[in-house]
Amino acid sequence: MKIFHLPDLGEGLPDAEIREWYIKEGDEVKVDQPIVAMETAKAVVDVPAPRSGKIIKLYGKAGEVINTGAPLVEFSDGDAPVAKSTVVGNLQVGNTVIQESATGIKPTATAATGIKAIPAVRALAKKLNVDLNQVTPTGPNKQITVADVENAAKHPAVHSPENMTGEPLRGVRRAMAITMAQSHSEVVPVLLVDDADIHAWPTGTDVTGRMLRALIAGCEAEPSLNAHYNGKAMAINLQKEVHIGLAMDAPEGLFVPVIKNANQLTPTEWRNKINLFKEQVKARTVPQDDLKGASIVLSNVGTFAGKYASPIIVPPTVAIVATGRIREEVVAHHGKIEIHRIMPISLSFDHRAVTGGEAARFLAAVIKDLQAEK
Amino acid sequence: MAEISLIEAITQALAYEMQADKEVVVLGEDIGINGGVFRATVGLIEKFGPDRVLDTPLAESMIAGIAVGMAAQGLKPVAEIQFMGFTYPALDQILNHASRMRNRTRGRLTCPMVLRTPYGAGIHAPEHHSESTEAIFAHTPGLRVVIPSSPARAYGLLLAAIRDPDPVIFLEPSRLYRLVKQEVPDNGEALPLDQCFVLREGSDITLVSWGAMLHETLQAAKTLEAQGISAEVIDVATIKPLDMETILASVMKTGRCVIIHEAAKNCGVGAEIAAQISEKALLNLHAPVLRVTGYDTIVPYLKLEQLYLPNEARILNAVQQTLEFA
Repeated sequence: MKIFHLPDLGEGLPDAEIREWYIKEGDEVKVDQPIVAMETAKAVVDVPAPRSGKIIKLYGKAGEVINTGAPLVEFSDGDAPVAKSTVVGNLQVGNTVIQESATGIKPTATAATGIKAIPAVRALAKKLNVDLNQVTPTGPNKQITVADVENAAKHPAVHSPENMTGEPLRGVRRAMAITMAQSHSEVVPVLLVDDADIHAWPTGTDVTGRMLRALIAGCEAEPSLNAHYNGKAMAINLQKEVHIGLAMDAPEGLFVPVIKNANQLTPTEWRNKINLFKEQVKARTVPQDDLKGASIVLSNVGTFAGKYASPIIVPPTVAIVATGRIREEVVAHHGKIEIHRIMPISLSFDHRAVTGGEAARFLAAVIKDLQAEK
Repeated sequence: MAEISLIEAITQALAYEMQADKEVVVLGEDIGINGGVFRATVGLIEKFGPDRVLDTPLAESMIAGIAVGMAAQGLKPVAEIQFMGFTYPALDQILNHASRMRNRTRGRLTCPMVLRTPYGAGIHAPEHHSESTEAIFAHTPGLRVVIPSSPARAYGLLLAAIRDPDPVIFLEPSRLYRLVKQEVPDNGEALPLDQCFVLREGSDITLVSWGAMLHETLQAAKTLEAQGISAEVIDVATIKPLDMETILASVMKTGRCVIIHEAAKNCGVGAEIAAQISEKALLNLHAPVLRVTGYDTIVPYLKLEQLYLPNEARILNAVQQTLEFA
């Protein structure tokens, strides 16, 4: 910019009078430096320099009137401005350089999918859980009809294992699938959820350690949850010691190493055991013996997300406790509103072996132990 | 090679073709001495003189009429209308004469004119300055409607439009005029008309758009990629006649399609594309074709125009609906 024109100093003011120049011809100015005081019909306004540079001409003396848009000062250098538009609007100006080719790209794969079906048929297949890959089309142009999908839903033979494609489950994942299916077909689970107010905990408290202790307290209050149940024999076997299975997530699947005789160990010993299990799970070297014999199971789902869960009971145990993500919550405390740390707790118990009353008393004992300061 | 904006690419194409072809003339309001309302014709009058760069009175019907006359008699006029909303007074000349010249004279005369106009909202402009009514022209037999979405396509498609023997309505997305830059070699190479450009390859869904909305569409495709959804993005570029072959091939591959345009939904060009997809690719469709468009109302003033314009969130919402359908 070579020449700076007087901007509109108010709401559509036609002109302004020069009150005082702060600079003279030949001065170097910095951007935003006040260069002149202009008196308008409303006020005296300092006009800042629009850019840095050397001023070579002042258009007017003190007391003279300058029209809005008329030259005010001239800089020694710079081009006459080229406006981005004349009158209308405000164009967004960017300097991002795009790299795409003018002609776009040639898509490599253009093959249409083999299945022919109208969206309604596809929606029906989704509703009936039918895989269209497994359906024989009988419609014109080999299209799958509503009847084809309904037929496939009625005769699940069309998605028999030999037709199914996919990677067979192995190892830990296979074990998980078998155990979960067994639980689903046998156990009669009931879910009970509640919260523990852990506001009293000192900072640095070992959450898992406190959970183990609380679980043991629960088992002492209600031994019927620390038990094995044989569904076929309809026999219950209360356990003397508390063997706590710890559900641990690993890329290969779910591992449940067991802290044997947890009720006889110190918190330090728990912690060492947990740390050892973590390493062994990572390295897949958990001894077989440490993976069985749990009398009750603890799962912490809240590391990732989730408040309450319905944890799955693994036979022959009859109870599993899941802790959710600890959160801050507004609570009523002694008639006042306070913000406390709250741990959500979900207990699943096998109603074949445990009564609702027993489970509730167990949970109450767990919560009571958790809410203690130490 | 310089990186230039879309508006500079327009200027570059005009200058190239005026240099290469003496029959090319430009005309419009304030396009000569002033350089045009958006500076599309800056410097042309100095280079090519007032005989080929004509400042006209404020009379759009006359501008279009002069262009029709010039074109019928062998010149190649490129007329500028300052804003799309100002093309309406010129519709009589465009619809009643330019589009019919070849048909009316049974091929004796053609009408090799280009009518350039900025279009679309998002530039904080008053009424009539934010229109996106390309469907009016796309609906008219005998017209070709071309919309660039990048500096390089603006250059290549404008050259093609000028060289085309029939009338071309060339709509320039004003929001993109200075938004991004691109290397555009000034080599006089035209891009093909009547052809879509695939900007991004994908397998889960096809996103079809044109003009300024491609900006948001490409952004949405990026977001989808981060979510593990692979979107193919097509720039229609010539909205009349439509290159349905490219669009259909893509939709038959992905099975899902969302069309994004700035114009109002009712009878927009998106409706035509959706109809043709359902006619020709119904059996490959997993879900109804959805449209994300402007609303069926006058484009609002600057305070509300961002609410009118389709944005990334609206595109993502439609994509999700489409993916969840079946």
